[in-house]
Amino acid sequence: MIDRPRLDLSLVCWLLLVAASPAWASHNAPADSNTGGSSIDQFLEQQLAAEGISPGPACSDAQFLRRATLDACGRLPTLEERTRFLSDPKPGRRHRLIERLLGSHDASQRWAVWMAEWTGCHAGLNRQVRRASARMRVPPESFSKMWVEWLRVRLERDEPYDQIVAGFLLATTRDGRPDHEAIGAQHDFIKRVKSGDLGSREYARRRTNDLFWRVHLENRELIGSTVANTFLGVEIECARCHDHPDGQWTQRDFSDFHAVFGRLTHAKAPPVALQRRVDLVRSASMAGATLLAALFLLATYLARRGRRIPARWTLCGGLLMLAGGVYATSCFSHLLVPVVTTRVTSPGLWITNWWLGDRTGHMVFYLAIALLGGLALLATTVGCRRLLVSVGPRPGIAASLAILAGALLVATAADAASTAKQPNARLREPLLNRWRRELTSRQQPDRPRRDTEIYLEPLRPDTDSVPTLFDKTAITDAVDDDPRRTLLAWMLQPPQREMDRVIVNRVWNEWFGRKLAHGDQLRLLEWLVDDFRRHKRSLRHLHRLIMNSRAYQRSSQPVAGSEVPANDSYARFSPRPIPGRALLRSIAQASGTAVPDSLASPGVLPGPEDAAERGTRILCGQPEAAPRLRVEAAMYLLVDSTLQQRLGASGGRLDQLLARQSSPEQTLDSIFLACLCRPPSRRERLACLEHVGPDVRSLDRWSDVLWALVNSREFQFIR
Amino acid sequence: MTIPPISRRGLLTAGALSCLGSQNLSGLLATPPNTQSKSPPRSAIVVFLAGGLSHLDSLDPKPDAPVEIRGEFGSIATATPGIRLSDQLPQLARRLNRFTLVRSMAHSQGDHRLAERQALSGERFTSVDTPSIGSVVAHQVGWQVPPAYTAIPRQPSDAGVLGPACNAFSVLGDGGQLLAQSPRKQRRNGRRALLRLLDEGSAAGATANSSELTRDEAYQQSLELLSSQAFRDTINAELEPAAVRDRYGEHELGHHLLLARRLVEAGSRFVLVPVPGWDTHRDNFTSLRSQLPPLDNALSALIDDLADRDRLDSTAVLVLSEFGRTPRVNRYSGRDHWPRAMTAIWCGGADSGGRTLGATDPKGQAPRSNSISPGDLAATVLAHVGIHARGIALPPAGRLLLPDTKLITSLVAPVPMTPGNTR
Repeated sequence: MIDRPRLDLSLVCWLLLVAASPAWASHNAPADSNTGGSSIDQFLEQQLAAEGISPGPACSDAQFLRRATLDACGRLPTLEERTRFLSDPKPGRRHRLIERLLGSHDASQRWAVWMAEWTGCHAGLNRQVRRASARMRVPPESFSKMWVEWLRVRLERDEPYDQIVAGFLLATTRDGRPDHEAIGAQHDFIKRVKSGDLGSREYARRRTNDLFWRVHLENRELIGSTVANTFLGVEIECARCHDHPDGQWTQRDFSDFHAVFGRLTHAKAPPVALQRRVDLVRSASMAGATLLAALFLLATYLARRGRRIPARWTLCGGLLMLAGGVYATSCFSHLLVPVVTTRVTSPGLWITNWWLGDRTGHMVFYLAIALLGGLALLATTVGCRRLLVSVGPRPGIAASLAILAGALLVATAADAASTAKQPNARLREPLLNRWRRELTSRQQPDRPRRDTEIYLEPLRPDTDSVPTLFDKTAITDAVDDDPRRTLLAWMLQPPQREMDRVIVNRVWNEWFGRKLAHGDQLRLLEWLVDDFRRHKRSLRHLHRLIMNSRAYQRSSQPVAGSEVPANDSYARFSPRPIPGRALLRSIAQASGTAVPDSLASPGVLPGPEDAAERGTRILCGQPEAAPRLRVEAAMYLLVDSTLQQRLGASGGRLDQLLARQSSPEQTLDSIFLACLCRPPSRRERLACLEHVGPDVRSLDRWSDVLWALVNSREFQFIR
Repeated sequence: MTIPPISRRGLLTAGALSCLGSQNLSGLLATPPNTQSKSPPRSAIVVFLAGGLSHLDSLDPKPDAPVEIRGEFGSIATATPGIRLSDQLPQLARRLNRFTLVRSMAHSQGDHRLAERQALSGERFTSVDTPSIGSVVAHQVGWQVPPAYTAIPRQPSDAGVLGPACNAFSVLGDGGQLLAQSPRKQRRNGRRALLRLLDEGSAAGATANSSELTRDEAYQQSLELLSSQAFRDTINAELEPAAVRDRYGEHELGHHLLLARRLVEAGSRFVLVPVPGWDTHRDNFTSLRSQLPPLDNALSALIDDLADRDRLDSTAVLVLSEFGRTPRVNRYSGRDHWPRAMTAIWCGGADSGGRTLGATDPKGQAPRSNSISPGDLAATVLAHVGIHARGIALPPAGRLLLPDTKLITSLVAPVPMTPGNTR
């Protein structure tokens, strides 16, 4: 009997798997960002092929170095970087450069300033930034640098974008810390700022960025549209005054969305020092009450031996003091059980407070309650003992303890029940812990708080609009009582892609000078959004993907079919002007002088009288969307005296080159390499040397050459 | 290469066809050469009182109202019987026959920033993209020296969608200060040649994209400005005789208005003079006592000056504010925002002067009958300069400019919609 060969099931499965694997591979293989952003190129080259345009060649390495350094780091490449890059072995040279650039401090600073600008710290909101920083009692430059540093630290760590958005959206000044810690930190921070430290490193350690709200709440009525515009790219500002003509957004929608941020306030928060003092006194009084009760127990034990107390008196007085005792023991419960306290509402307290003043009033009131409580315990214990007199001393003590425990339970239950009914109930840490911490801390809690902060007001049941999300769903039950959390969760959920689309398109705009706007480009945008989400919304991955693509690395030489300026396809790299901030930095680098300090504070516009910071005012004072090169900017670059001085500054590049006794050819090469990343052509060399003339050490003549370079089209453009 | 023979007919045809091609707007609106001696191009000076001028204490006094409404100032008779002005403006009162008081202006925007944008652009709902009327003038007239839209001392960017080329040239701000710094002529020529050489090398021209063209244009225009000694002289008020300078007054406003007059004489088409400090929520009367006399002095000097030089027909002077102020004086003896009633002054152009346009009720709370909106006034200013606002479509999508406004025909003759100023 020969065994029929049976179909081995495992073999079948294996064969099927092998057969299906190419399908799996092509379906699941993400375009590895290191292999050149192949999907971006697939999309764009398909489009070019459909239009009959063949894409241009790749740019040269020197050009790529200048372009990539300007785009990624906002500055020119140094001579050392150039030498290092060009001497790197050819295969993978550009990949390694990209990794170096994206991981550098300059890159995280450049992208942090970019992000700070469109989140609200830009020169257009100069007035609001100054007001907000005045209320925070810090200088406006400091305010701006804190914002930037907070972002820079996150971008350096390549934190996912949704966490950065959460850091902005869910910010409060307390940041979830207990009151005392938050207040202590605030006092420390202000002391540090006053002593000269800018506090930006300190600020960057916070979980959330409340500076965003400090600035935007200055224009309270537009807060909803600001958030919508910043993170979702949606313009709803018009709906503030009138309904949208197509019926998409009504004024009612606007006010309902605005209600998401309705409870957010920028003011001096309700006083907590009072509360803390009250709690201190309460806890002290409770300790006193317990001590008294213990003493009484001792007294009853001793009294049993001889003395007699008239029953009538004890019973009447006892009933009266029982009430006080229950109240006192309820205070005792706070020592052990975390319950809610919001404000002190006892009428007796208000009266004493009014009569005796704040601090003394409280002391007296609570000591009185403690005394009453102690006496009540005394009386109840005596009364019970009288009832249980037959049982003997030991059960008397047991009965007293039992009554004490019972009163404690009743009081705790009553307290918890009453406070649980209060709106905005939040658990706080038990008082004993806090009290212990306060006694051991170095910070004086008695200093009155005069600082403004961002906080959520308690929910008022009679508010007229219910917070509503963009898709018109009402937020009736907010996560952790903060409607912003619900909004964030909604923004991140799969059907919603606007937040990701907006950031991807903004980043694309920074690299290419235009957004993905129409037709087939939108398919590329959707693919990029999916890829962005797959890689946990890492911005560095997105930068890497774009920088490694062939589309970014193309030459800027015009290609047949793409000459018409309006029809700029991705067949070649479209030259665009260096952004204002990067231009000023590049000029400082080219001349070998220090970068102007105002460049690091994007939200602060130098005043009109400040002649030295004119460059920042003219070149960085405009919103990013507008091209910067206009008449005043051109005039600044041509004739400004501070700029001219920079070019020929002592200790600058020209001064050092001339002091080093280099030959004119070497000097010329050096400045051309520094500015344009290439040596001069023969014609340029002849013309420049002719201009310098016979006196080859003349700083004036050489600074003319540098002036011409800095004002040339090639210098001012990323090409 | 031989030049192909051209017949006389061909030459004439080519000439006629080239005329069609050169129908750009600067050609239509700039002065045609043969009429230059006859009348200068029409221009406008807009004095913008930022903060909200209290109309009841200046241009629209209510002497018969109770004291908590009429305030501390009295009123005086003017050159026109029946019209009274505040007693702080005596010189303007004597000259009332030269200008018109537009007393029936009203709108509904009480916020400073939004009301200022509304006043200077004419649009009811504004955003950062809304162009101001000055930038519309710059856009239509095109580039010229002196710039078509200038501001004294300075005006931040307000051109919106029309692009930064249409922003105001800040005569005493960065633009003017840069103009004052100019290196010596020889060095300038030497290094400019170097710059030209470097720029020739980097492939521009036909293959340049739009941003390269913008940059080239900006450089060319700035070089034109820098080399124009005439413009430098225009913005140098020291060249004016001392008597004239004294007439305008030794204060900033006088200096600015004198520069404004010089600029319109030199050919600027729209001069904006923003004047801060009129937001008198507190101590209204104390502030106005110190601010109204200089305004009075400088404005009357300007009017007299323009009349003496026969420029009142071609130059319109508009004194405008964001909104009026509350009729009832508040407890800090100030007045708060009141957009429901405000007053403006229109002088020159086709206006005959010596009258009021509309009136407010006896308490100065609202216009009695038809109200004039800031948009109407903006359209009127544009019409005076020679631009028909209705015919202009704004980039990028072709939205019409000032769609719901009507011209105030008694102040200006309507501009016909020729093919040139319709897009």
